[in-house]
Amino acid sequence: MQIARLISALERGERVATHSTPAVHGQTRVIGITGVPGAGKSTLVDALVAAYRQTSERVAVIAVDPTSPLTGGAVLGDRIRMNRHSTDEGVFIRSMGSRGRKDGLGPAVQDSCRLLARAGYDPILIETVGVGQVELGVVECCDIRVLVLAPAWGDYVQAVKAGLIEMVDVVVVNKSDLPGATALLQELKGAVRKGGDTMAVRVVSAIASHGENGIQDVRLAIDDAWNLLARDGIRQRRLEAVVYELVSRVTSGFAGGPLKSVGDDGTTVRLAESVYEGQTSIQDAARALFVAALDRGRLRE
Amino acid sequence: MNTTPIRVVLGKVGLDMHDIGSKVVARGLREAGMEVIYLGPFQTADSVVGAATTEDADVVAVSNISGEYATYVPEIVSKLRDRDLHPIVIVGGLVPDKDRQGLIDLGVDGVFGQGSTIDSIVEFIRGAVAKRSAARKA
Repeated sequence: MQIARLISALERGERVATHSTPAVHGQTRVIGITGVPGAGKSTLVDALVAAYRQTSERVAVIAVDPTSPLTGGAVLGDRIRMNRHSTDEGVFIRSMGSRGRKDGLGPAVQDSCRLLARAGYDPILIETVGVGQVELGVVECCDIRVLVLAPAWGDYVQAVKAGLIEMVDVVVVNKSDLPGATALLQELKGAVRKGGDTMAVRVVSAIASHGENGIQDVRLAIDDAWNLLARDGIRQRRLEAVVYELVSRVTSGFAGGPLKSVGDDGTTVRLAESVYEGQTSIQDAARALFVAALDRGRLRE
Repeated sequence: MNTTPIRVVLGKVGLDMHDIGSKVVARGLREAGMEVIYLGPFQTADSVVGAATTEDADVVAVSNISGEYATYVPEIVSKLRDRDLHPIVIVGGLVPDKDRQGLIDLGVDGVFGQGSTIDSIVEFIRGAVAKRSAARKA
């Protein structure tokens, strides 16, 4: 299938024309699903896909799992929960390794979304790595951000600490048949009201593994958030996403290229030693390192 | 990690749910730098081919210890062909030696029965993928 091969090319870092303009992808909903491992992201995505298929919408899923920094390999196991959709022509599921990115996404997510939008998939669900920290990737790159929490494991405390609650559009208390669900729901609704701002955070309860249980509420919350965004400024959100991606690429290209080159020849260590011995301030050393790296020239792509 | 990981779609067909072996292989391939799209048990030919399609798989690896590979693998090979997809196809699990040639004749690239080592699977996959890219560039 052509899209699948094009996505592979994008992941390899090749230049692929997505032929996608705002006219084409402007109305495609890109929905990011994040949350700790075990909260039920994949099961929720599976249930949402089923719900969207019931209204004959063609859905794409990009499921990201962590790449081993040591071996470069990954076990991409999210789609095991979405097995029933593997034979549905109206569903496109693609598993991606994070391949060195640290923000919960893989290297080709934004462009892949444009390809998929052009091929008529709407919505596109992005299931992030889910390491439980602030996953900037999903916050910056997706139109609607859904945070999935499960009772217990101190998810709530973690999420509040990370400021994640304020950065998302929908919070789903999944596995709400478990003890602690009601308390978690109350705490979240309280926290959200205190936040008190234009874009309300919608808190919903669900049991993703049990058919319809709460899934329609999740859909309604997503639709509500989308309608607000479409009304107020999808263009602004999308521009911010591109800025984020640009900065990400420049930063990692710089780190992997000029900065690495300066490190390889010992300059970095010499500067570090100078700081360590008290001869240079960290600020002066940083400035010197930056200049040295710039002198090395080209970004590594 | 500058090289692109080899993408392997790995699933178990039929009613065989003894998946420890396939999980060990999945981890072994990950250690060898590959991306393993793990489908789990109860796959059909359609679900394996559906996954191989959207995942643009370099390798389709079918695991089975119940003898049902004999039913599913021919169907998988033929459906891949119908879609003009040419991943490396390997079968692993409990495959008696006498069945090996039959599978190869069908179009399966490698058979890894009882006692196969992870290293031999990794080496085979790397070799087969390299050969195929060289052939494509030619």
